[in-house]
Amino acid sequence: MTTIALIGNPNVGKTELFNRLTGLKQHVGNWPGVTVEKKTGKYTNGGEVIDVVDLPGTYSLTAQAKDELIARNYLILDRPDVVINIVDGTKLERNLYLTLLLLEMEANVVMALNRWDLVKEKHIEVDTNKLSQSLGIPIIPTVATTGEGLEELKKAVMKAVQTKENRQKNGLTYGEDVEQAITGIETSIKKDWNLSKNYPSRWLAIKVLENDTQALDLIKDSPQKREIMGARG
Amino acid sequence: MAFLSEGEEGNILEVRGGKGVVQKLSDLGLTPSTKIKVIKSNPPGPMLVEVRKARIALGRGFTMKIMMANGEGL
Amino acid sequence: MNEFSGDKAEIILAERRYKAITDILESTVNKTDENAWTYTDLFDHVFLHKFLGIPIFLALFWATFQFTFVLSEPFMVIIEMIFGWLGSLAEAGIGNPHLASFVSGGIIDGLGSVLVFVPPIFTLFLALSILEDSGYLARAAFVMDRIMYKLGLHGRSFIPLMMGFGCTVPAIMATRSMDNESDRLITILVNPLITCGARLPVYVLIAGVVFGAGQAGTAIFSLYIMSIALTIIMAFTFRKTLLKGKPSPFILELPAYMVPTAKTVVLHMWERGKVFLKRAGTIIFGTVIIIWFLSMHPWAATAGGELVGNSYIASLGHYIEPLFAPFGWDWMAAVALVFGFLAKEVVVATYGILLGVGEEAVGASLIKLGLFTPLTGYAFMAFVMIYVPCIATIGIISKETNSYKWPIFVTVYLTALAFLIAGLIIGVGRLLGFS
Repeated sequence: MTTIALIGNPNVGKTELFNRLTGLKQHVGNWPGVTVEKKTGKYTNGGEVIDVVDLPGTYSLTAQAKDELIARNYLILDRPDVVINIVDGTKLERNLYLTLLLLEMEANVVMALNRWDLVKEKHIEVDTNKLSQSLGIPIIPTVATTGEGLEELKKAVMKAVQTKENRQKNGLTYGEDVEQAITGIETSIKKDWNLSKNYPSRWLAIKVLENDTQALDLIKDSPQKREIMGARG
Repeated sequence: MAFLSEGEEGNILEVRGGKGVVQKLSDLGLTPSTKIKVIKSNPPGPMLVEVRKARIALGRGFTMKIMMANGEGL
Repeated sequence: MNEFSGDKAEIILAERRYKAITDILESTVNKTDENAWTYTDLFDHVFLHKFLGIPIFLALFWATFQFTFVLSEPFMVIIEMIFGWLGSLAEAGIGNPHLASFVSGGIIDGLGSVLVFVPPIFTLFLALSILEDSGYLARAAFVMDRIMYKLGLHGRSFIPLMMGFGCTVPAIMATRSMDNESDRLITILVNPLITCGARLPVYVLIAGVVFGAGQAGTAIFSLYIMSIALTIIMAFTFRKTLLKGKPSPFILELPAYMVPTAKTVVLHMWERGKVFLKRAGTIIFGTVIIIWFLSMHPWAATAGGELVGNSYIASLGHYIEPLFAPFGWDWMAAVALVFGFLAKEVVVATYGILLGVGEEAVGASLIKLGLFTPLTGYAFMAFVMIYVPCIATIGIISKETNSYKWPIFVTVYLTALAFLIAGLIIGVGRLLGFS
């Protein structure tokens, strides 16, 4: 059974895309224990049924806000096969922030570059090939309101499911000093077999560096805790 | 930032405040050296600024915590 | 590595991410006409104008209601006619008088008098969806934040409160977008004071009866103003007492204006309207059947429903009547209010059944029987507006606050407030010489 998640900033057309993908076969409930709406649906592609989980529209994935924490936990713990990151093509600069966070989590991302019609209208020229290469993920221009690009998106999702294990690495770095700090912490984390089995180590290292409350909680019982915190400085 | 007027532009110097405030603003792109343009400012109401091509409304609670590079508060 | 200690690390990481983004975009995106005035700028210049912003918002707000009532009126008339016809068909066609009464007087009359208000409620949701999807509602929140802050409310609570004019249930669900718990709680506590679509049938009926077609509109408008005033007062009170402090800082992205697609708007309208329909289909319908039963039985005593005064419901009404006598309301009003607890539309349905008439004629019957004077009628409408949220609202409050104490609190304070205000209206009215 294939499960994909849909995530993006508020107001990027995520609801329209979700509706386009799942039609009226939607189910609305709650994430367990919280008053955050959980929308799920399905669609069929090439004979296979794909479950779609609509994650809350957020700008970030901190441990601070209820809905962000839910999205984060779903991505890290449930590990959907593919994550469709829907991005507003006319607001790339801010939208890509979430994309980077998803890449840090080592999610299997396919980007739906939405509002493509507006992008054209505003004469914004996007070299999707180059962007795809820089981020290391497939990029599909879409117009959720008309359904344009939907078939290509579904195809890209199928392909991403199949190539899940052999993804291309992106060359994103955050500066030598930061990368050094991250690597230091990561090395210590990898020594804890439990932690590195359950969470992507680079992601956890970054979170520890950021003093993320959930990350600190995750490592607090680790035998490597002192070393990790030591590497943090 | 609270003291800038409509139409003025500037760069953020630093963002002060507790973890939540800083995180929220940083995630939205309000980081040091970012360029801001003030679109609307009618105190005591919120300010509307353009940052990284998005329009964000910020209440005084936030704008008072954003320090601008030219020495003024936002 | 020590430079990463404390809070600096988060900021640095955020900075570096944006730097990576800027670098990527520099080589992959090329944008021409950077500084062209977009229509978003133009619209914002007007909608967020220092002096024009609020008047424009009020005008749009008023226009929304006009749109709702004008557009839905012809449909309401059609539905009334259909149910009236179905009712007489049932009465004539069904042999067994007991069954005929059940179908015609119970199901058809009762349900019909509620479904007739589907057009205005759906059109209101349609209008709200258009305002929201176009991007305007965020501007309204921006413009209103200034005032709302002074009243102890957070600018973000504006949208849920606005939705309360349609239906309180989805409005309270909309408070999920508010991260600050105190702000959210206050919004939930005062939301029921915003007069919802379900109370509208009551206003239309009573105002029409006691004020006549000419002034009914004004009377109803005054109720809406009262609703807003009370919301503000109670929010302020809660802020000063139960949930001290200031609203958390306002932060909201103003999306670019979009012409909403018909499909999305209709879907939104349907999602919210569906909630109303579900309530109408279940709670209201169930309540209507109960009321029919209580008003038609004991069957012999009421002579097959003719003498409602001998029914169970009349007994219930007379029992409670003393509670409402000071306000000049009779046992039928008492009964209607009790059942209105389940769903406010039921107040009208109850009268439909008690008076044994089709929807169209409830008004005429009330006038003929002189059950309300302008003063007592107005007080009654105010009472209905304020008292006890409908059971669906209580349910959603419990769910959204994860507790039993808040829904109970809301029920108690609203009922107390309703008695207070109705009492004030009657008191002042009598002093001024009205009866």
